[in-house]
Amino acid sequence: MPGFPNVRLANRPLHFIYLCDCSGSMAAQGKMQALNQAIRQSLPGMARVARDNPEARVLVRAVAFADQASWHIAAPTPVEQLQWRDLQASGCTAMGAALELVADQLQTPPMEERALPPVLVLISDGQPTDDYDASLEQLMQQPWAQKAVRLAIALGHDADLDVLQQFIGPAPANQRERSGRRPLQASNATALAQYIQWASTAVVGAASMPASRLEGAEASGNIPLPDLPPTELDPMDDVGPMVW
Amino acid sequence: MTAPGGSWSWSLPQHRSRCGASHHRRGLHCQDASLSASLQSADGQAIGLMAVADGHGSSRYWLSDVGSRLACELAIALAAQELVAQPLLDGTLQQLEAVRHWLAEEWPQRLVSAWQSAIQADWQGRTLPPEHCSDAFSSQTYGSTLGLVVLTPQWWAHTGLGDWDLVLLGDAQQSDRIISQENLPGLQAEATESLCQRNASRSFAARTGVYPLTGDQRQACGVVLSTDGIRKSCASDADHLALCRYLLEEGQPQQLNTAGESTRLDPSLDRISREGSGDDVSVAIAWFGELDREPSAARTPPLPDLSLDQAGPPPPEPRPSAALQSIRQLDWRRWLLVAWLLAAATGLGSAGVFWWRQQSATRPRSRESLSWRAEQRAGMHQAIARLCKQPALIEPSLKARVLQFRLGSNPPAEPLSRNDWLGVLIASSRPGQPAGQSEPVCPELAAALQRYWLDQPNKKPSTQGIPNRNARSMEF
Repeated sequence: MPGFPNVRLANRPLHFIYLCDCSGSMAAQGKMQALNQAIRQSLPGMARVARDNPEARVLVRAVAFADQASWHIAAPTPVEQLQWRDLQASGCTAMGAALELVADQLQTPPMEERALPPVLVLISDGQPTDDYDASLEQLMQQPWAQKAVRLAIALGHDADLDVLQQFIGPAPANQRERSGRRPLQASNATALAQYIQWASTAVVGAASMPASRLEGAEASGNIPLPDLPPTELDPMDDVGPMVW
Repeated sequence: MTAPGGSWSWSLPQHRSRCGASHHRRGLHCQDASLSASLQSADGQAIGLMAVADGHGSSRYWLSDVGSRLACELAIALAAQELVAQPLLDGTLQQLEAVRHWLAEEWPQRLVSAWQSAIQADWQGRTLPPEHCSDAFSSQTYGSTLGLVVLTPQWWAHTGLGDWDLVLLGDAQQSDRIISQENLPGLQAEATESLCQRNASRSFAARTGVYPLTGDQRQACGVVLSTDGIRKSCASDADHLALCRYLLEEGQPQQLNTAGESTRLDPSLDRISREGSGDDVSVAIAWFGELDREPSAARTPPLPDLSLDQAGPPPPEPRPSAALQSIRQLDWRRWLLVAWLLAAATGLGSAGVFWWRQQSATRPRSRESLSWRAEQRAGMHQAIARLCKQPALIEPSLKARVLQFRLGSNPPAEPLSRNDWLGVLIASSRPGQPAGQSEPVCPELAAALQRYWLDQPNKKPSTQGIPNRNARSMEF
């Protein structure tokens, strides 16, 4: 009987990419501080989910966009090794440039053919100041972008919900349904932290599970998204119930 | 891979499915299924069949484990039904093109139709859990891929749809290659084509291939059919090919005497899932070479001749040893049932139908064939209870099996699956059953069964086989 061969068995990469608005408006009312804190606080939970799903290798990256877009974390970094460096706010909202950066990385290669569907989380408090439409089209030409779990978090009431919805894809038919397939509207630091935590744990857990889906079923989302967290204000939250 | 000198033939195909590490940890069912079989063509040539199917798995497809199982069962049964009905083709180009057309165009339509009927029947007979009690039937709930490989001495072929992989292993390792994979533009991640999609049968052509094994092309080889959990566990395609070679050698280290499920691969399959994708894993394997035994000696005995000449004499009975005869009888009846239930589910009037009629007309049913096992009786009682408690289910349930009523003189059924007791119930209600063989049922079900038997063309049955349990009380 032959022994088990010397083949490389490997878990599957799950790319998780933050696209963070670092425009000047994010400096107001502590939004940037809240975003940095929310992401940093979410990392232990994300690492726990990664440990609980050893078949997925959770790799985190981040793009920051203001006057321009650049990789804040360029290398796909295992979540347990990730040290979050604070983002700084200043300038405009080059969201389109950020999408182009991500589009370049969602080509195969560098994307691995055997990867799990990536998770893209777009966080913004305003409107794009560059050619967002063309960049989104460029992004969505990438098959991996089409298959990605695309989430968006709107900070405050000035965020362009239509733009964020375009990034996500078609909204659910039921207008009253709370769904991750609509922009998640965070009007305070607590809600933002809850949404970031949800995306980095519950969604990562769902995306880690190997489960086929039908070709052409993107209209209902690429994976069944887990339930959204409650978003009641928490008076005990350190950040405080600031309303953006 | 090459066996000692002898006649060229395929080894008996083996198959196995294992629940993935991720699904196991989450307490989920295995969504994969696999099946293999060996049989003989009308002219006595050995045929191997193997199938794998991958249910889609997530909560949207919560019955995909049923969908994948039905896909494999129907694929094997339908292919067997049609392959045993005719002499095997000899591998000329023209004939290979006919095989390709059959597997790419004709067989998929019948398979998809049969699968749709089978999942509808399953849905109608299912007690939905509370979280799904308001769901309407959707074929997506049962979504599954399907891969089928047909092995004959002169050619081999594959068809199907979805993200399964087929590896061809040659004598020299450098000739190993993935011979079929899902390769549509834009299909990445977990996206796949599926039996539940509209026009699913059209997707089979792209995954159909037919390969001659005659002349210069008669070379030793192995084939490994697997669901995507195997390949996605490997860091590269080279690793995948090496792993497939190992699975073939590990799974068939010698000339096995029986086709079918093998547990030899369990440790390896579990390791692949645990250290790899975490997904369910299924594999079906066979190799081609010079075997030192008669190709048909150890195979599942042949399905009976599907001659359309109903007036002709029955084929001569083989006279193997008593032990072998016993095994053969069991397998023979299993295949009869599979083909029979398939025909009932699909509504197809094929050559097999004529054979069934011929057999029933020319052969007396043995006493053994009329007896029901305790397990079958218990299953029938469950089916009766379900239908009698929910009379609205009676009509759609029987309608889905209408061809079974036309095949009323078949040997009684063993269940196609553990939960398929309706076929056994229908068989037990056949008019003319000896006393004690049919089961008492409620008036609604008795009336419906009687009506279905009487409605079939060319039959003038009596109704003595349908005892009407009176309506006074029914306790199940």
